[in-house]
Amino acid sequence: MVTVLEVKELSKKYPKAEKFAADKVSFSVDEGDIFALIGSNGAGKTTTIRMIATLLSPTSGDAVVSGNSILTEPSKVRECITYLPDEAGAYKTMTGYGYLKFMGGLFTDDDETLKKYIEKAEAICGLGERLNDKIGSYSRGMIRKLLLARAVMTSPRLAILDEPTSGLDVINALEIRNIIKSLASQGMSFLISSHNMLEIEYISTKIGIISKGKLLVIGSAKELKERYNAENLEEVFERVVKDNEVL
Amino acid sequence: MKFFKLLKKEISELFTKEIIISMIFTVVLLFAMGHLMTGAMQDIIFSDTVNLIDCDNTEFTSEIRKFLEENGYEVNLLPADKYTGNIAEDMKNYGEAEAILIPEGFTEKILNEKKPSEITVICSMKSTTSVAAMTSGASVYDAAEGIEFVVEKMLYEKYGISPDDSKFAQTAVEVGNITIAGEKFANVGVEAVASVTMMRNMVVVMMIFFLVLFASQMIITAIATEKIDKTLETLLSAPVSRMTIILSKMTAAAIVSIINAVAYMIGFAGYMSGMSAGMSPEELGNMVSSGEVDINSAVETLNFGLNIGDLFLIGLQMFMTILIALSVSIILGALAKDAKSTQTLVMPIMIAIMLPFMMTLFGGSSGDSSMIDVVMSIIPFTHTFRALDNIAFGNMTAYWLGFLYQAICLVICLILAVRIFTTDKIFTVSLNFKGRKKTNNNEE
Repeated sequence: MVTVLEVKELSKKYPKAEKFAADKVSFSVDEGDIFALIGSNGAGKTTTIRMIATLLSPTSGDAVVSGNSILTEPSKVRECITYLPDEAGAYKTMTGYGYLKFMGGLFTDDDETLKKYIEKAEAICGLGERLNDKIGSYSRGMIRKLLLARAVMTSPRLAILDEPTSGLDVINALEIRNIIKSLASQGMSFLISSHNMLEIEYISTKIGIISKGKLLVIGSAKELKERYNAENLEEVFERVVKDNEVL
Repeated sequence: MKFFKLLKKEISELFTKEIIISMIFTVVLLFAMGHLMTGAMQDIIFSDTVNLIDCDNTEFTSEIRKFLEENGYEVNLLPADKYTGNIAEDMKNYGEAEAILIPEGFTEKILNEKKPSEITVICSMKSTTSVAAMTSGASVYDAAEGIEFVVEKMLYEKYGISPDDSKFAQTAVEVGNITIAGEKFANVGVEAVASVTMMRNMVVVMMIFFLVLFASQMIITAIATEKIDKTLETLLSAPVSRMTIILSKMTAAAIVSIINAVAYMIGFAGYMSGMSAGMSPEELGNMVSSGEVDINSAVETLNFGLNIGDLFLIGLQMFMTILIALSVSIILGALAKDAKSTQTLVMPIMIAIMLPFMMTLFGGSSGDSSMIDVVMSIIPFTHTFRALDNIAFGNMTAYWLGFLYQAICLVICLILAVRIFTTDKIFTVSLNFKGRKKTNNNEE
C-alpha cells in the first residue's frame, strides 16, 4: 500500500498560548484511505489539518505528502492536495461553472484538462443547470456539494475535508458521504475532521482520536470498538478522552 | 417597556467601540483641520504689515507711509538701495513674500508732470493648489488701494489740484502687479494666476484623494471578505504563489479604483466647469487676461504650465501612493475579524489621506520646518500632494526626496504585507478594539 501522507510529530503552539494546539501528532494515510480525525471543539483537529494544508507553519515536526515535505516543499504539497475548510464559502458573484473553472484553472493551464475537471465536478455535485446560476442564490447544501466537487475534481492525491457535512440536512450529508466513499474506492485518499461519530463510523477506514492537541489512539472503527469494548464510536471516544484525563 | 429594552439592545449594538474610536478620530481630525485653516486665514485676514520699497524717497512718499501707519498698517521699509530690478532675486534677498514698490520719479511724475504714476504690488505665489493662494497678498492689495486714496486726498487738500482735474487725481496712482514663483516672475496679479492653476490642479488633488480611498476600501473589503468566508484558505492551499495572489489583488484594486476615480473626475470636471461658467483653465486665463496682460502666457512664464515630463512625474508619485495604500490595505484587511471591523480598518488610511488633502487645499505647502509640517511629511501620501507644487516651483530636490521616502515606505509595507501572506499570520492575527492586536490561539 502506498503511503500518501505521513505526519511526523507535528506540533503547533500559537504565539502567547500556554499550551500546544497540536502536540507531537503522528499518523499516516495510505492510498484509498479515509482517515478521520475526531475530537471535541478545540482539540486540535483544524490546527493539524491546516498545517498539513500548508496554511499554518508547524512549531516542530513535519508532514510529508506524496514525498513532499510541508516544511521544504509547500508548493509541491499544494499540487498534491486540495483543502475544503469548515463552513467555507464560495465567490457569490460567480456562477457555479465560473467557480469551478476559476479553481480548476489554478491547477492546470491546459484547456482539455480543465474541461475534464469541470465535467467531473459537474457529475459529482449533481447541480445540473443550477451551475449556470450565481452562487449567491445557492442553498447551504448546494454550496457544500459544489465545494466538495471542486475539492475532488482535480483528483488530488489527498483531499483534506474539514467537517465536510457540518450544518447539512440528512439527505445532503448522506450524498456527500457517498461521494467520498465512492472516490476513495477509486484510490483517492481523504483526511477528514468531524464531530459526527456516526458519520465517521460509516465512511472512515482509519480513525484518530485527538484531545487537547494529542493524538491518543488510531485504528479502524471495528478495532477501536473491540479495544475499548464499546458498542459504538461515541462510547470509544468518551472512554479514550476520560482515560486521558485520568492520566 | 419592551420598547426601551429593544432600544437599549439596539443602541448597545450600534454604539460600538469602533464607532466611538471613529467619532474621536473625526473630532480630532476636524480640530486639526480647523487649526490649520485658522493659521492660513489669520495670515490672510489679520496681516497688518506692509513691506514698502520706496525708491523715490521724497516728502510726498513719506506722507504716504505716514498715512498707512495712521490707518493701522505697520510699514516695514525695505532698503531701496538694495533694489536691483530683478524682483525675484530682490525679494529673496529681502526675505519677504509681498511688497509694494514705489518707483523712482513717482513724486515728480505726479506733482510736476501731472501724469499718472504706477506703484507695483509684488506677491510671491507659495502654492498652486491651496485656496489660500487665491487670497494671498490681500493685505498688500488693500494697502495699495489706501495709497491710491491718500494720493487723491493729498492732491486735493495739500497740492491744490482743482476739482476740474478730479479725473487726474482719481487716476494719479496706477497699480501694477508682479507675481513671483521661485526664480521667475510675471507682470500679472497673483489671484489671476492662482485661479487658473487652482482650477487645473484641484482635479489632480481630488483624483489622488479618491484613488487612495477607493483602492484602500476595495482591497481591505476584498481581503477581509475572503478571510471571513474562508475562500482565502481555499485559495492559499491551491498551487499558486502567495505573491501572485497579492499582486493580482493589488492590480485589480488599482485598475478598478482608477476607473472609479476617472468616473468621479468626469463628474467633478463637470462640476468645476459649472463653477467656471463652462470655461477650461485656458479659457478662464483668456477671460481674466486684460489689456497687455495674458494670463496663460504668465502661467507659462512662471513655469506653472504642465508639460509631458511634469505629468509623468506627478503620475509617478500617484502610482507610488496607490501602491503604498494598497500594501497598507492588505495588512489592514488581514487584521479583519468580521465584516463590521472592515469599516473601522479603513479609518487609518482615510485619516492618512484626509490630512494631507485638507492641508494641500487649505494650508498649502508651507515648506517650512514647523512641527505640523514635519508630522505631515511622515505621511507618505503628503509627498504626492506636494509634488504639484514641488514641480511648479522647481523644488526637484524636495520632489525626489519625497519620492525616495515613498519608495522606502512602499518597500517596508510590501515586505510586511508579503510576510503576513506568506506566514500563518494571515490566519492567526486579527485586531480587537481593546487597543491591541489579538492572536487567535483558540483554534481547534
